[in-house]
Amino acid sequence: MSTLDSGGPSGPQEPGVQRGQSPRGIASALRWGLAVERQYVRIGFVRKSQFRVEFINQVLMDLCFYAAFILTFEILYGLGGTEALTLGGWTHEEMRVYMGMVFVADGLFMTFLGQQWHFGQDLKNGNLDSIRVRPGPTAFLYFFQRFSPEGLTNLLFGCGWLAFALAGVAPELVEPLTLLWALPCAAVVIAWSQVFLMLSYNVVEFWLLNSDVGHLVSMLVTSFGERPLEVYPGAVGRVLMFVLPVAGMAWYPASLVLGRLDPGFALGYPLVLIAFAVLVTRVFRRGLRRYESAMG
Amino acid sequence: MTSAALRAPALLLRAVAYEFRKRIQFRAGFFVREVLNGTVEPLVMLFVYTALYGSAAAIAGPGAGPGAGPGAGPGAGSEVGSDPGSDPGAAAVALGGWTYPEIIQYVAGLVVVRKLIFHSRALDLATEIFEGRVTKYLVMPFRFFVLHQGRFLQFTLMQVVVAGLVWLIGYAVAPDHWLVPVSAAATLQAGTLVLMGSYCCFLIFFTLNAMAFWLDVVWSLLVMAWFVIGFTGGALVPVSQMPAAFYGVLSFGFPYWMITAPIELLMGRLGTEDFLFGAALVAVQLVALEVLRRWVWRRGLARYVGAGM
Repeated sequence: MSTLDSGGPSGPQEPGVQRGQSPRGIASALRWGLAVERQYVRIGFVRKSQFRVEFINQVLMDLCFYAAFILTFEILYGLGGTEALTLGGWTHEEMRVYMGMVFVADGLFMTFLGQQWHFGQDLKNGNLDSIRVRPGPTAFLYFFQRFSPEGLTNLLFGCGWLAFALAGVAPELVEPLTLLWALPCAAVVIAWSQVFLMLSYNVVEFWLLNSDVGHLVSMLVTSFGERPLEVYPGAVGRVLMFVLPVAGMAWYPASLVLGRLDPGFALGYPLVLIAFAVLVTRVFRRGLRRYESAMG
Repeated sequence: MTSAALRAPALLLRAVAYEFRKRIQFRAGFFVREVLNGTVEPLVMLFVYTALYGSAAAIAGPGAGPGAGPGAGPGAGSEVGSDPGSDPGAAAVALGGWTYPEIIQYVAGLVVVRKLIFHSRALDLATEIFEGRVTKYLVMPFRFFVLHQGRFLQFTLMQVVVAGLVWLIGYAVAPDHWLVPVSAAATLQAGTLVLMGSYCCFLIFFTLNAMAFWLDVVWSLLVMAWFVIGFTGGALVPVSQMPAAFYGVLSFGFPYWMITAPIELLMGRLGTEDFLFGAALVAVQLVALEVLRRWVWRRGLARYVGAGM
């Protein structure tokens, strides 16, 4: 079963699942997960077809965010005039790639994990009941339920910016062959990090109900992860690298693609992300035991 | 019998008291929302600026600014975040007309000023329109807008106290770097501009909420508006540090006079003449926004039938 498993009670049949049982085995769980996600995608498109202007507004909203982000760094690097300023060792061209990774991470988050904004309120109102009676991991069923077509659109914009940024980097820094394996690896690391970071700052809500702590930590994590870790003081950088591994969101993927990492570190760091995922999942399960249908 | 003139202020006071009770219901939530919120971005901004000035100082030569040069990542063999701001006091480098100590003061000012600005999540009018719940207010013998003004007043009163506390904490922690107003007059002038700008935000967010009469769901418009207001006001980079073309345009908007200009007033970079010019400019925009709000609200009500989803 996936690491997101929280052991919900059995329920109706799903593809690859015996009636009354959770999916067993990795292949069965994957088939089941994909089937559920397909439904979430379908429902996401149906939902958005009701609010077509809102779809455009949300695309524009994220583009505004990207534009403000890009302009900020263009202005900051431009302050040096003819001198080539760097940010913690990141040149202007490398920073554009970093921003590309941030946009891809944001796009993935907005596309699949938008429901997390409602977690505190849903806990308070007891809205997890209908999720918990379904077969399968509660966290997956809950957090992935709000597929966002506008998020997907912005993910494509983010990919476009990343391609533009990579084209602007000197060829000796990024070889096409390296990109062939580094980009898919980077995408997997971003997705993995986003899911478990999201889970980590939402678990707080089990103890501090509807407190907005989850939102604050989310903002904290996102804001810190949107800048290269080298800009932070040593202790803060290490926390963001190893304790709350925000580095997986953009720093590690961008560094991997740009060849800024030692091979040993590049191979070893995913273990930190895996250990973090296991820990967060355990805490989430413990938190879920506190759920009492109506908590506030 | 209570006159109509007295009824509205009495209602306003009741609305303020009610809004206070709502805010402090969940104490942990209250602390996070009102005290910690708005401090993260300035903090990140400070780290970014420290690294940037460190790089500029390294280019300018030894002893010119924030000590250590840019560090590479651990994967490249050196330590993450080699504390580029270890010697910020020695900063002689100016970027876009701002030295490093000035930027630290700007960020400190930003933390305090942002507390006072009415934010996009503070109104729930769009939901009430969407769900058809506005009707119950329309049958009551007072202007519906007074309730929202009550919320603005409650927000402002509470945030003035919170901003004061945050300033005191900052000053206690880092008195040498924290922004200390150059004079009481500058504080009053800055406060006036921030509150006028905050009311402009309130009017904009009310108007955007009222767009729910047509669009049903407007939260993305609200977030978008905040992105634009924040960037054009100087929440990410001081407007006066931006290229001249940007500054030339943005210095006519109320966001600049709500964020960058008040901090510059507190620092003594701007004076009373600038304040008077800014106050006049923001007053004109405030009136225009109020006219727009009334127009949108009336047009919206004209098509409202009390049915929601």
